[in-house]
Amino acid sequence: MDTGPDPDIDLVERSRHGDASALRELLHANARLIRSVAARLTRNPQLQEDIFQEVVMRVIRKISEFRGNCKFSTWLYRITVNVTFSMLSREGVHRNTLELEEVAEHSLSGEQSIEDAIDQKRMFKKALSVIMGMRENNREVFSMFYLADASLDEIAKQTGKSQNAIKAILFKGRKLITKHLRRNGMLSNV
Amino acid sequence: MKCRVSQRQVYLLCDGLLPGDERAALEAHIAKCDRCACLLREARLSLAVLRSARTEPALLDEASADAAIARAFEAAGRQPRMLEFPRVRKQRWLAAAATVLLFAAAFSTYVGLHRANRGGSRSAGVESEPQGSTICTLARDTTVIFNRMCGLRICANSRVTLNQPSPRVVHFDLADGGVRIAAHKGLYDTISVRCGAVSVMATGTHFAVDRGGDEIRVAVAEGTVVVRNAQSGSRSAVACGELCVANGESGTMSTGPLPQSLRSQLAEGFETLGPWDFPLGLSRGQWPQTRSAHAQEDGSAAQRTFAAIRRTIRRAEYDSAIVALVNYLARYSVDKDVAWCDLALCYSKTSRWESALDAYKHTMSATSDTLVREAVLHRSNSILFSKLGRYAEAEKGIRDYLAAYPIGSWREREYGMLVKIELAGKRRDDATRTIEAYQSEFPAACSVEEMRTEIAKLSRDSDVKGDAGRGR
Repeated sequence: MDTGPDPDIDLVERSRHGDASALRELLHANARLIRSVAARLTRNPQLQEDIFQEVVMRVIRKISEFRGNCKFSTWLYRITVNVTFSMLSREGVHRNTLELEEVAEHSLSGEQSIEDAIDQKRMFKKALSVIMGMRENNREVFSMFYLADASLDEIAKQTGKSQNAIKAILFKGRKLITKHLRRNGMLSNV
Repeated sequence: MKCRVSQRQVYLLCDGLLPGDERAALEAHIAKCDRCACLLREARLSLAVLRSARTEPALLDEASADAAIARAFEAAGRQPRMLEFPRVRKQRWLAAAATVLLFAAAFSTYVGLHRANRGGSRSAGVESEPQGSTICTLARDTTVIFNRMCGLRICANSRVTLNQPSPRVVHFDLADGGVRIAAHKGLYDTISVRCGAVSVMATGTHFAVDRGGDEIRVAVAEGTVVVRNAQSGSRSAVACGELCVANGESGTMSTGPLPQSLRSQLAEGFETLGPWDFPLGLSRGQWPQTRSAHAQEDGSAAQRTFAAIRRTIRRAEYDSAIVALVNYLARYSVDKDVAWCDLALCYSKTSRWESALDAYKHTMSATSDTLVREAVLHRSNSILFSKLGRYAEAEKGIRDYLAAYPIGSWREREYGMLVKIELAGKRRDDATRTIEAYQSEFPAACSVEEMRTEIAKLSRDSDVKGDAGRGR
């Protein structure tokens, strides 16, 4: 993630002070970010739309509480990740169905074989269920780093945790995922 | 030489989080150490799995995203404090005071509505107009269930207009027309509406259900409600400002923005709740008075006591509530069925299943309300089946339920329990018959396949045992 100055700073300031048009512009400018993070975690179009709607509602409600100590995009990542996981736990990961046709289409366009693409999807689904089982604070940090591409520095600013604490959370999560993948015979080719 | 590199360092290296000098040293080490090289391969593979989702294209297009933003702003516009009054630290105490006042107002509204219904002041409760929300339905063959226990079933071709701001519902079974129901907002209990093949569940929210032919329209004016289409088994969360159209015949569901006409109609119904029209010529004073006669006996003292008990239950102090309810039942003769029902609930919450069962038996003998009897029978069966494991009694109860309530709200679950009991008793033929009945009643139920698999498994097991016996 880019660690330069926040490009949205002006819009954020105006939004925080109740400027609805600025907030609207801000949301339009960052809509792609919400859509892409939601798309990484669920392949259900209805759920993606629900997530998008809920994130936007939450931003409208909470923008006055945004402290500005990190980039707006990081804050948005955090909200999106939390909303997505809460919806996934409510709806069940099973709604993230493995679309074989989609996998086939995807692999035909890329270099991956269909088998590899399916394997990878299965492994990702397993990893996602492990992430969902993590404690909420750890899940948030882990997902922001690996699934929403937030940098260590940004996560530290947003969550108030030290970089070492974040590294420890990331390591524990990775170890847990590797353990589960190994137990399910998904790392047999290593 | 023994390798002293920790797994953590390898993972940090893989994630690019190791400082430059440490990284170079570790890379040099890994080139010589098989264990660390294997760890790194594993770490890279799991990282690739996590990063694999990066390439997933968004399924939500830009136009839909823009529409969602517009909808959210419209919804926010109905709650102006979101944008117009950004929170200021100094005024936090004001916000806290306002919150306390709001809660107090909501609570007094609830208690007021409850009292109005329970005592002789029932008509006063009706006249004072509910300050809360509304559920409207203009549908036929609809069931509205309040407070999980009490409900109203509207028969086909009936037309009723109610303005009963209480979960205790008067039953109507009248000919000709549709129905409109006014009820207070459920503060902590779920309100569910079943309309043909579609059911809606919501807590503390405003929504309207309307039916035309096979199409059921659910309009949401506050919060989010879940709409379930029993025909296709699909569920959809309908957000504030949206309209969900579910087809009970084809099983399809679609959600879109709420049309302006419906929006204003909803707002009108929820905010003003003005005088309703009474197409059957029933004026408010002529509404059936099911409870007023006995409620006048020792009304006020019982009301006060009961309100205090309900507060105790709401605070989840079930043990105190049990003592208070037992005293109430010994002392007052008003609304004994409700008290027994609450007692059963408290016993269930504290896992005293035998006592809960006993309290439900008393509820059955104290009430003539069909919907309450149906709910109590279902609950008793569930306790017997899942908590006490008394399958023979549970089976009898389930069969009673299925025979007595041909369009009951819990038939699906009752069938599920019955099949499990029959499978547990290895009664394959009975289970097959039950599944057939279940499938003919709920053709889209997805659990049928699971049940059939269980039966097939049972058959295989018995075949294997038979073969083994013959072999011997």
